[in-house]
Amino acid sequence: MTTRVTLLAAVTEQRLPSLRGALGVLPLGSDGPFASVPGTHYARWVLLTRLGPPLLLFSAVTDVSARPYLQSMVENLPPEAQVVWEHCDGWPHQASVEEKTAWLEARCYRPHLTFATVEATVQDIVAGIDARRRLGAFAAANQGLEPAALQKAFRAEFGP
Amino acid sequence: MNDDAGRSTAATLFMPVRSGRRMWLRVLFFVSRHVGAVTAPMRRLATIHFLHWTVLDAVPDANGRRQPLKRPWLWFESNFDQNLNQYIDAFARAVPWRMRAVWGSAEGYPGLFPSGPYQRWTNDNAVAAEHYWCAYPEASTRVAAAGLRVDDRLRRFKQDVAGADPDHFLAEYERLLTDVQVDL
Repeated sequence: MTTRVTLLAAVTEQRLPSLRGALGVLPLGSDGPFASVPGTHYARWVLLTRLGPPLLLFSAVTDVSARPYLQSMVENLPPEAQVVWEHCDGWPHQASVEEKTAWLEARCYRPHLTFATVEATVQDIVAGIDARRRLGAFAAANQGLEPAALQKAFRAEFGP
Repeated sequence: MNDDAGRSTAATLFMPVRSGRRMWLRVLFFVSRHVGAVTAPMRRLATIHFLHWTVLDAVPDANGRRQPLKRPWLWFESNFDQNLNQYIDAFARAVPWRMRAVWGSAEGYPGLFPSGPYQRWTNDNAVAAEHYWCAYPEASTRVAAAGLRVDDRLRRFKQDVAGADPDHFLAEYERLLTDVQVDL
């Protein structure tokens, strides 16, 4: 089962432009910072100003529960993404991984209703997408082969 | 602003909750968590991957202490395949009474139909992400689900044909393709 990790952290008004700048330069796609955090399906950072004092919203859909995910995030996010947390009020810059994890966990919210149409780990979904692509390509490329040749080609592509 | 990651789109909505409707939402979400029939029709919306709702009563201050909000807010997030207007329109048509039960508790809800005011209201309450990331941006939710089925069937096929002679292999291979053809 997947987990939703959602948290809000206060940000001083004066730091908002700098925070927006730090978020804006983060790479996307396979170079994105969350590619370094195992078990992340989706992750987002949002700046919220409509509820009162500015807030940084972080949320992710993950393969593990909140605490181990947050610890992994503290350990694995590259420095250019760790900078994002440093804009938040009270972020313990010099603290240990455990203290930073506890700081994040203290700001987590548990959603009241969650829903998913596909429940699987990131690894399984990525493997499935690859299997679908490879089988489709194999079927198209090997139509009309004799049984022995087809079997040999299949083993070459997918293993024994 | 960045609400797209390949095929995936992020929606983040914050709506003030109407006076007296906080408890209704908490009860509605509690029942929906425990009665599968409430959320079952949403599975027809194959373009949604994940979504969640939260009733937000307090937010952290600079010291991390929760400070109560003047009024509760409804916090909605989703990861899906289309653009936001297509998504909310599909949602409204597929599960209209469920949507009314939730959004009807939010301030300014104009009704689901006609779709113009509903889309404007949704867009007015949307907050764009500054950073959005997806682990499999090339795949729609439908493709992700299809891939899982193909992978599972392929594993069983490999077990079935281990040590098979070529004719048996061919028969099983044709059965494999028949089974997964809608997913390829």
